[in-house]
Amino acid sequence: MKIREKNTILPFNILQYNDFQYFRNNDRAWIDLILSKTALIFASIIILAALYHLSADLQQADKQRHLDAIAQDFRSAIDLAGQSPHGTSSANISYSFDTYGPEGKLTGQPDAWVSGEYVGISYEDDNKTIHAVKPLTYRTLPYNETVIRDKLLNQFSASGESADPIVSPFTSSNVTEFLTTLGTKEKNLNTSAKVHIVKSLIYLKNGTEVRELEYVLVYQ
Amino acid sequence: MEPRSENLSMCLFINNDDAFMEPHNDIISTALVVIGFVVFAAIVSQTYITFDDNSYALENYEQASMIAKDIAEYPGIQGSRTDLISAEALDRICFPVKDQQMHEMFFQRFSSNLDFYVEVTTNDGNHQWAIQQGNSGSSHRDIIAASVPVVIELGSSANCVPGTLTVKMWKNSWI
Repeated sequence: MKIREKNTILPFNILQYNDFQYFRNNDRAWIDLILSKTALIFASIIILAALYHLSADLQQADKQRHLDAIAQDFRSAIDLAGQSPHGTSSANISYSFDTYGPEGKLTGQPDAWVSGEYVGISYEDDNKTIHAVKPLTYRTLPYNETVIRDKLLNQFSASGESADPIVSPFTSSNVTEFLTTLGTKEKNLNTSAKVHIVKSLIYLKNGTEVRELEYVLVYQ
Repeated sequence: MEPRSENLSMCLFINNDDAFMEPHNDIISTALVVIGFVVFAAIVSQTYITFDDNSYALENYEQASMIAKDIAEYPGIQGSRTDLISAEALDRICFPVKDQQMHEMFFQRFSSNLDFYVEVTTNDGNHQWAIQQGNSGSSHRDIIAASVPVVIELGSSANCVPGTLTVKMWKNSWI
């Protein structure tokens, strides 16, 4: 194998004349090597960092999916109560978040909340909060039966039960508006305790006509 | 040099010992690794996005299908029998709404947050009803639809035609 001859100028000969000349005439390519190795190290660092980020992002996405599943399960439980036949109140459903308990991907207890419009689950992980929010199909109120009846009694002088229906001049839209305003507040739920879900009816009487407004109540 | 020129260019490339490629080996291998990584990341994210879209569509389809079933069983629009839907009741609540109170009661139990409309058609295409909540004409969002087969009673129980009840839901803008 033919090896190219190296430049024979020795450093100590040239150094006393000109530093620049020494660099120019040196063709051992050591600076090339250092530059390319440095670039390689930088490139490796960037690629490793990107890989690490990708796996961290995937883990986060996995947790997000898990939270989504919890929220979806809770939403289905509420919708199931709302789905019961029209004009009848449903049986009280006890829902617990244990189905996706600590043996899952989450190390701590997630937080849950419910409002008249949606359910939400959040989980704090490494100072980052992951949320999963699902809209509800049926009208929902985050209060128990007694609270609702009391509030109706205060507002419309009738509890809205079948024996004590709300009568005119109050219309169904008055009641709906009032209850929608009540439902805008989020109610935090304790995920280690059971949640009660029940469909309740609010009766309205207009002359001889009796109507029922259906609401799903979610409380602990 | 004479015998070399007769060789194939590949041999020339292999036998060349000038090492002119040597300093660029790193660049080529790094470029290959980077390209490989980018392709891998693109495939992973694409798969994830597709999976997310599919699960979203499935989730909403379930919701739409639940609403469709619920509406098909709603007593307010039932005909002379529980398995029939009265065309006369549909006439009252379809667009333009004739019976405002009945229309209100029809949508009462559904969350006001939901944006959907109901379309009832007879299979022969002669009759069509569109029941709409408010005036949600936002056509820019994705639509998820689910339908259930129904029997529509036109006038009397002797005149029944098969039809379809379709619930079309707009994707919530805040999800």
